[in-house]
Amino acid sequence: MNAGSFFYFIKSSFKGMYKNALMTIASVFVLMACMLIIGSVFLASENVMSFMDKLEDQNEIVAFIDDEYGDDSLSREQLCAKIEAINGVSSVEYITKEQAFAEYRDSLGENREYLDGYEGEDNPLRNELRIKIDDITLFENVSASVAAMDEIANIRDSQSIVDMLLSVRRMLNMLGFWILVMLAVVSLFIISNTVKLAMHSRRNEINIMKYVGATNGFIRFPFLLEGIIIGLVSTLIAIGLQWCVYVYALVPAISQLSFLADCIVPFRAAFGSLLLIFGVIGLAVGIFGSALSIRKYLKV
Amino acid sequence: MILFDDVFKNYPNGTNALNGVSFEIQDGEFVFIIGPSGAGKSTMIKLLLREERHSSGKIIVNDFNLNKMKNGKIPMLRRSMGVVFQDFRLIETMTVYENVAFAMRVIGCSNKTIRRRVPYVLGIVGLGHKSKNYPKELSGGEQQRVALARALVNNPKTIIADEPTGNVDPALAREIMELLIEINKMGTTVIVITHDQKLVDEFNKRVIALKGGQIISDTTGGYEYNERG
Repeated sequence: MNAGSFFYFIKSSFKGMYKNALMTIASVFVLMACMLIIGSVFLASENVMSFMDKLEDQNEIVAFIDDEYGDDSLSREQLCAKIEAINGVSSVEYITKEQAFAEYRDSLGENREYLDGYEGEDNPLRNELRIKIDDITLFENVSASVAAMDEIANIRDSQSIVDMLLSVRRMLNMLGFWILVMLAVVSLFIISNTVKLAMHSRRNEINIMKYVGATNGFIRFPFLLEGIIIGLVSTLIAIGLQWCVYVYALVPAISQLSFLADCIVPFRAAFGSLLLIFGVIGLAVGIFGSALSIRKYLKV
Repeated sequence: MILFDDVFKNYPNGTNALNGVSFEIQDGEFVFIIGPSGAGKSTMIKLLLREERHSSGKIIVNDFNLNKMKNGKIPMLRRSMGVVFQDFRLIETMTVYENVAFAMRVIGCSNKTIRRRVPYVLGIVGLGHKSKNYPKELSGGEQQRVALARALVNNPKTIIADEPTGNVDPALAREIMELLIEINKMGTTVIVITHDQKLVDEFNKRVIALKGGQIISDTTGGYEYNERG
């Protein structure tokens, strides 16, 4: 492509958009709205993920060891190794019933004297294992595997919170997907109509181009460029608006939930992914939207 | 060289537009194709430009064998021809210069080539001084000359003029025909499609007469067809 052709393409694209300014603006708005909704769902999902990461860090299963099981150091090591081998387990800490008793008594503070008389032989607690999980989606598996072991009497976990968060995340992903599909179809339709109008107003030119021997690629390019420009402009405006929506609407809303307040994802951390998502949506919808309407006018 | 060998064109609605047409036009010839409405003239242009495919027979246009040619080659075929339409088909929003330059631009010519070639071609058709005017500011004859300049600018082997004098008065018609003859003298094959018997009579050139999709005569000068059939 020489410089003359390049400037011709740019000029033609802008001329097309200027001639159908209303449709061009409508396309940018629809595409931008689509991006904003997808972006908001994405950011909400990121925040749930961030909360789950936090939960993962704190998350542990406490497994109480059966009193029948040996308490010597070899048995402890063997048991820990057996649990560490389970997929999803990041660490295992062995807590003797004496340590557990001391911790419990400390946690009672001023009321610690309630436990007087339960030390030593009379300690009602059991030796326990504190198992950390590194992948929250494997929580249920780890929990079931540990509970099924002969050496374990019973376990304590926070399965219900994990289940709830997992289902929220699944729901958000599903919602995001269907919104994306629905709005992508609407945007495709609008952009395709914008380009169709641009082509219709220039059908005479296209006809002449065909007769003087322009290739289909040459005729198509300014219209594809038009779709690409609409996509890119929408991306840039949408990313700016998304920042406003996130900082001034979503973050204050999420902050109302105190347990989420300290794990809010900062906008700059999601910026790269958002730009990529918006860019891909913008370009894909721009290019396919244009391509859909071009074919008809090339049949000369 | 243009060759039609036993060419048929049948449309799906049952119309047989061309019925076994055969002729050969050598490089550098000047040929009138004449005939009444419905004779098959427009179909012939469509086949030459590969706007339509022929049903059977053999067509060769400027070294392109249209029987074997793939669609991707259509732009190359069309670049070997310049077409002048009866309705000029100029772009109203472009100046004379831009209209002609446009034909070069769309086949990927550089700015430098365009700047050199367009004024030269506008000079040939006598419109060098009107390069900045818009089509609306020109007479019918001048618009036809812009269309001719656009057809010429890519230096095609063949110029096809479809009723080039249909929209202009007799004096301008003669002027345009003389221009086409000048272009032919430079070595370009010129095919003029017309139903204007008077125009044909004025110039002693080869005339292919069509009627009902068949060639009824192929002579040099003096042919007379009956408009009423």
